Amino acid sequence: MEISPDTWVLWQSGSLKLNATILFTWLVMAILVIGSWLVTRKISGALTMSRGQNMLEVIVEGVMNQIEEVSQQDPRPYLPFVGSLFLFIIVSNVLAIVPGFQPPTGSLSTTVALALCVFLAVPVFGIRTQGLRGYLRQYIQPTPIMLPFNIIGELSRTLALAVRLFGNMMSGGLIAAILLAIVPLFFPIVLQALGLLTGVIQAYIFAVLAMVYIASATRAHSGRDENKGEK
Amino acid sequence: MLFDWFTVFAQIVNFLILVFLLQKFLYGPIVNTMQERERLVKERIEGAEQKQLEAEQERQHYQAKNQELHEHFEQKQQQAEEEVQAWRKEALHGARQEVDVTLQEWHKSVQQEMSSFKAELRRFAVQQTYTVARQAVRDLADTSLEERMVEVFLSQLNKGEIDLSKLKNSTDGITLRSAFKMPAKLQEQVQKEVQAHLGKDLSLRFENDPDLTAGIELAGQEGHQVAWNLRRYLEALEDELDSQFQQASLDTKSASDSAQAGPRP
Repeated sequence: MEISPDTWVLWQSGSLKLNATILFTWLVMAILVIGSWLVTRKISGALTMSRGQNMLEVIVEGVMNQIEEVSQQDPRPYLPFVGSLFLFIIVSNVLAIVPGFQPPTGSLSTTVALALCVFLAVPVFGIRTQGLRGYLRQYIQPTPIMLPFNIIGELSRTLALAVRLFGNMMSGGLIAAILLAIVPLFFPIVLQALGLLTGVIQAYIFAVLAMVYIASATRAHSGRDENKGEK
Repeated sequence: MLFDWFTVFAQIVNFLILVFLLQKFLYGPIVNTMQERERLVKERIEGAEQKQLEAEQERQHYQAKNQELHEHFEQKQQQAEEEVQAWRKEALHGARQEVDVTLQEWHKSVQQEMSSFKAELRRFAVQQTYTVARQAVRDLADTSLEERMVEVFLSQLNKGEIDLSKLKNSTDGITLRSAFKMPAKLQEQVQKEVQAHLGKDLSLRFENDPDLTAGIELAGQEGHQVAWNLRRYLEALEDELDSQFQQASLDTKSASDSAQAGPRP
C-alpha cells in the first residue's frame, strides 16, 4: 500500500522521473485548461450564453466574491493565483472518487510545492503593493522583538498549509482503503462521500488561507492575522 | 521520505504553468466578458432610462397639446353658441318685424275694406232710404219727395231759418245742384226766393248731380255752399257704423295681441 503517489514511478531517467503525482497533475491541468478553452473559445458578451460559460462565470464570480470578502480589495490581481489554487485542489480532490485516480494533493510533494508558491506569493504581492520597505517593516511590527516570531510564523504557517492538505487527503484515501479491506460493503461509500466533503472543504480552506496571508501582506499598517480560521 | 525535491520542483513549475494557462483561457476571457456584459446591461438600462425620460417628455408634450386642443375646442364651441344666439336673436327680430309689417298691411287692407264697405253701405242706405221715403211720400201724401223737400226748403228760407248770407258775395252766379231733375216750376220758385234774399240780378244755374243725396245744394264762389239734403242723417248713420266698426276692430286687435303675447321662445 502506497501512502504517496510519488512512490508510483512510471518512468525514470537519472534524476528525472515521471511519477503518478506529476501524471495526475497533468491530467487535472488538462481537464481544467481544455474545459476552459472549450467554453471560452466561443464566449459571448451578450445577455444570453451557453451553459458551460454560465457555469464558469458562476465559479469565477464566486471565487472573486470570496477574495473580495477576505481581502477587502479589488479581487482581479489575486484571481489567477488564488483561483488556480482553489480549482486545482478541488478538481484533484473531487476526482479522488474516480477509481484508479490518485489525487496529486495526496502527495506531500504537491502540497509542499503549493505551500511554497503561497510562501513566495506573499512577499511578491506585498512588495508590489507596499514596496520593499513597507513589506519588510511588517516583520518588526508591533516591535522589532517580534521579528523572529514573525519569521517563524511565516515558515510554520507554510508548513501547516502543506501538511494540513496532505494529511486530510492522504488520510481520506488511506481510511477508504483500510475500510475497503475490513468492511467492503456500504461503509466505504459513506467514507467516500465524507472524503468528497473533506476535499471540497480543504480546497476552500487552502485558497482562503492563501488569500488571508497575501491580504495581510498587502494591507498597509494592519495587524498580522495569521492562522486565522485554520482548521 | 514522504516527498522528493524533484517532484516538488516539478509541481511548482506545473502550478505556475496552470496559473498562466488558466489566466489565458479562463479568467481573462470570463472577467472581460462579464465586464463587457455589465457595460452592456448598464448601457441598456441607461438607454431605457433615457427612452423612458423621452417617453415621459413626449407624454407631457401630448398632454399639453391635448389640453390646448380641448381648450380651443371649448372656445370654438362657445363662439359658435354665441354666434347661434346672435343669429337667432336677429332672425327672431327680423321675423317679428316681418310679422309687424304684415300685420300693419293687414290692418290697412282691413281698414280699406272697411272704408269701401262703408261707402257701399252708405250708397246702399241712401238709395234704399231715398227709395223708401220717396215711395212712402208718394203713396201716403200723394206728392213727390223732391218737390216736398224743395217746398220745405223754400218755406224755411222764407222763414229765415236758412242763412244765405254766406253766398251774398257770389253775385256772378250760384249753382244749384239737385239729385233729381227739378221741374221748371220749382226752378222758378227757387230762383225767385233766392233772388228775394240775395238780390234780383243774381243768376242761378241748375245742375243735375245724381251723387247728391236726395236734396239740393246751393254753391257759390270761394267754396261757400248751403245744403238741404239727407247727408246729415247719413253722416249720423255713418258715425254710428264707424263706432260699431271701431268696437269690432278693437275686439279683434286685443284678441290678436293676446294671441301674439302667448308663449314666446
